[in-house]
Amino acid sequence: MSGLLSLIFIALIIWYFLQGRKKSTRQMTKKWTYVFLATYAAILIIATIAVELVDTTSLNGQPEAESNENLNLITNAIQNGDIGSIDSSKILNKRTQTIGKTLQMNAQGNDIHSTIIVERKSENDGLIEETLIKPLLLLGDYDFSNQLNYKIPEWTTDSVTFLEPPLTEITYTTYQEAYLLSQFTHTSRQRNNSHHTSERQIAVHLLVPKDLIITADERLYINE
Amino acid sequence: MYLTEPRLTNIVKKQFLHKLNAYTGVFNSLIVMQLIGIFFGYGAGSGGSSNGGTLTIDYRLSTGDGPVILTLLWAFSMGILVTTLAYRNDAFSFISNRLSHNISSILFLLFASAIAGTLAPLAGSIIKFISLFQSNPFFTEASGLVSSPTDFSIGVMTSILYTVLFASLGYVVGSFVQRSKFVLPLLIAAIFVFPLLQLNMGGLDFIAKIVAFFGSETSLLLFLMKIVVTVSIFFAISIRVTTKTEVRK
Repeated sequence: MSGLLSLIFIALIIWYFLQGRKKSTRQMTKKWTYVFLATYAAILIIATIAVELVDTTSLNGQPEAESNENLNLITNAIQNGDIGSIDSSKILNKRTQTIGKTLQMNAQGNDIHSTIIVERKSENDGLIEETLIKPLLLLGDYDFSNQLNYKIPEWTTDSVTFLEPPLTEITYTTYQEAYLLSQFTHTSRQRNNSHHTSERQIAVHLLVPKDLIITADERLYINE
Repeated sequence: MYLTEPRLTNIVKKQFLHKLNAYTGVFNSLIVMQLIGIFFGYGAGSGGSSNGGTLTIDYRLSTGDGPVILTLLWAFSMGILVTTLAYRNDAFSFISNRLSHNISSILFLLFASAIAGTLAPLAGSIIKFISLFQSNPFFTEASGLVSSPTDFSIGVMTSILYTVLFASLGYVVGSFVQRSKFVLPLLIAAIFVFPLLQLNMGGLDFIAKIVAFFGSETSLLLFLMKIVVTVSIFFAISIRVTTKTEVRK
C-alpha cells in the first residue's frame, strides 16, 4: 500500500514538472528556490529534534533483551530442575496441589508449547509443588515477554489441564540509519539479523511425590 | 595591458556568486530527489511476518537509505550537469577563462554538496517521524542529534564526504563527455561491462575493490584523506581535460 502511495507521489512530481516546463509562468524564481530550500531544511531540523523527544519515551516502554548468557542460565536451570537458582522476578506463581496416587495430565488444544518438567521427591507426602516460570519473547534486541499471552494450567482433583495460549499478535517497526552514515559510528546495523525471535511459553515445574503414577496426553512434552 | 588587471580570485568569487544565483535549479532537484528518497525509504522498507501457532509477528523496517542514495545520485548528475554546454556558456557572461570557470564550478559543487550532504541524514528523520506515529512499538537503530550528537555529526560528515566524492566523479565524467562525445557510449558500456568482466585485483573484482577502498575504511581521518586525495585528482583531471576546450564551443 505504502509502495503504491510512493509511486503515485513520484508520478505526481513528474507530472508537475512536465506541466511546469510547458508554462513559463510556473518557473520558480531564484528567491523562491532558496526560500523553499530554507523551509525544507527547517522542517528537517524540527523533525530531527521532535522525533528524538518522542522517541525516548517510546523506547523506554519496551525493555532491552537480557544478555544471552543470562537467558542460557535460566533455560538450563529450567531443564535441570534447578528452580532455586532462578531469579524471583522470573517466577510467575508457586502453587501447591493435593494429590492422590495418580495424576492425569491433559491437553486442551494443539499448540501447547509449555515446558513441563516433572521432578520426583524422595517421599510420598501427597503434595505437588508447582512452580510457574514466566514466558519469554525476544524480538531482536528487545524483550516483548510482557506482551505474550499465556494460560496457566487448570487443576482439578487428580488431574491437570494444559491449555492452548490465546493468540498473540505483535506489530512493530524498526528504523535503521542509512548504511553509509553508520560507517564510523557505533550504531548497530544488523539488518535482517535483528529480527530473530526467541519464544518460550510458560515453563511448569512439578515437584511430585515419589511414587505418583502419571499418565499424560501425547500432545504434551514432559521432561522427567 | 588594461587599466584594471582582473585578479583570478575576484573573478572566481564573482562567478561563484553568479552560479549560486544562476544554478538554483539544482537545489530544486535536490529537494525533489530527497522527497522521493523519503517516500522510498518509508514505503519500500522491508518487512515481514512470522506466524508460529498462537504467535503472529509483523514487523516493518524503514531505513534512511533512500534519501542518502538519491542524494548521491543527485550529486553525480549535478557534477555532470554543471559541465554541460548551457552551464558553461552561462559562465562566460563575465570576464573569464577556463581555469576560473573550473574553480568557481568546483566551489559551487563543494557548496551544494555540503548542503545536500547535511540535509540527507536529516531527511531520514522524516521517515522516522512517520514510522513513529504509524507503529507502536517503534524502535530506532540510529544516532540521534540529541542522544548521541557526536555520532550524528560523524554521520553528517560522512554524508558530506560521500556527496562531494560523487559530485566530483560526475564532474570528471562530465568533463570527458564535453571533450569528446565518444566518451559517453564508452562510459555506458563500461558501466555495464565492468561488472560483467569482474576484473580481478588481488582476489577482489575491480568494482568491489573500489567500493571496499572507501566503504571498508574504519578511520574517519583516513577516510577524509582518501576523499580529499581522490576528489583533488578528479578535479585536477577535469581541469586538465577542459583546459583546451574552446571558450564557447
